[in-house]
Amino acid sequence: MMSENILECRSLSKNYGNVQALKNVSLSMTRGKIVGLLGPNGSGKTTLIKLANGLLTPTSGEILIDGANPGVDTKKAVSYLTDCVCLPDWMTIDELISFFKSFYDNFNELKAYEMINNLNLDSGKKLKTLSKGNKEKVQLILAMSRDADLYLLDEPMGGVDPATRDYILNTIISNYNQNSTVVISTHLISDIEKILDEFIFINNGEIVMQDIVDNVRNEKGMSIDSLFREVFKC
Amino acid sequence: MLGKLMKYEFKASGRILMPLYAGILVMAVLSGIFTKASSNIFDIYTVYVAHIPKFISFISTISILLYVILIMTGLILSYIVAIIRFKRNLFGAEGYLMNTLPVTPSQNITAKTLVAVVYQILGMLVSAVSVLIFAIICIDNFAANFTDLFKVLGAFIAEAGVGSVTAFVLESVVLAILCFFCGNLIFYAAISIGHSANLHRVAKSIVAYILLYIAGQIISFNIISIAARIIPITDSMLSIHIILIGTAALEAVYASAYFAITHYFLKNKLNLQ
Repeated sequence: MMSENILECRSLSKNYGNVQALKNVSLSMTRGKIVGLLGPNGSGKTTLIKLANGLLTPTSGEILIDGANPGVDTKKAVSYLTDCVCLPDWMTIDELISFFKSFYDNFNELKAYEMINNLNLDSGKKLKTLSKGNKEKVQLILAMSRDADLYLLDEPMGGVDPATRDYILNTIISNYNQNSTVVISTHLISDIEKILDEFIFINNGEIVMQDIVDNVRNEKGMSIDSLFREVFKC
Repeated sequence: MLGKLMKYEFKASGRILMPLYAGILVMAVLSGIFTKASSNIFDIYTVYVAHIPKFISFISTISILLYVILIMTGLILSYIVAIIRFKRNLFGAEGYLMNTLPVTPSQNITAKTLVAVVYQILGMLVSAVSVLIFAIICIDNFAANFTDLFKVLGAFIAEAGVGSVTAFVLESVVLAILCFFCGNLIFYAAISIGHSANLHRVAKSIVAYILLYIAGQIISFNIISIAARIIPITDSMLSIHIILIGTAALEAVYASAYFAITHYFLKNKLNLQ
């Protein structure tokens, strides 16, 4: 099923009790883009990503992945990188790769091992024996070894050193293909803006701005980072 | 997909429970040997060396104590592991992994339930077999005593009727298995209810469990009272069958209800933090 938009929100709202985390959000993303989902903490970025993953159900409106509501089929097509380490740490890297391979048909085992070897990680080691930085790298490798239609990366570079950030950016770019879209949710804008095609500013559960990065650079002569500071001035 | 989930679940729970179950069997053998040794030694050496028998006797007492503790731990742990795994794997950080796999919530719940029940039944079987092993090692002429037991059983079966006893055994087994399912599913329902909240999730899960338990007891009491009045009890064998089948049916209904509750909350009210 190939819809024009890989991700679409139609008047999407999500409430947690009295709190409105997302208010009537409508947006769409086509394939083959790297999109930055940018906003301050509590703006609704993570809520939107969780809705796309089927981890939350909308209060009203709908969210569509390649034209379908979140379910088993969309989960096959979506690769999610959480901001926390969410993998069972008693498993070894080999076991985790085997786990992903058995559940996801589009998991590329060779690619995963290539990346693991590039980082000089011992794949026989249990996840719990690795440093936090290495755990996050393993999680990134597993997410990027999937040949998915939509990659949702939630704060992929939080809490890692600059060299690791460059590694992560290079991994994202080298895995990019024309049929997939990568959504990066972050507030470390200056690091990622060089690889972004489009950006979305979100605040208080509402879309504030959505545009192509080149437009901003050409028309306003600003970086996205500067634009963000201007738009979200405290 | 269900098979894959179960394979992973067997591995995850097994790394804690299998060594424990192996330990139970090993302790059965060891404590059996020590107990047998201490009884023999008392016969032979008492006259000659007073301290050795006391030491062996001490070791045998300790080993029996350890063996009993391991059995109790095994039985309790098979439930604790099931509950903790359900909570941690579906509602903790690992929930981000498990709930985004291309599987349905039903498959996640079913996999956990089936594996939990298998390990709980296995725990009981291992304990029972270990007692048998202990008895074979310790008790002289155990084989002879055992065959006597079989003779008594055979006579009983012949008198009651093979058909009736077979039915009785089948009904009991089915009821026991359904009780195992219910025992886990009520915890799963309580956990899934409690973890739909933002704060105090564990406390709310405990409250949910208590409420589900009380509701279950009240409903059961009413059903049994009504049934006792409606169903005429004439033949004592027949009434046993009716009670077994009736209780099994009730357990099946409860298991379905707890499953439905768990499924609803896991699918619609998931609130990972």
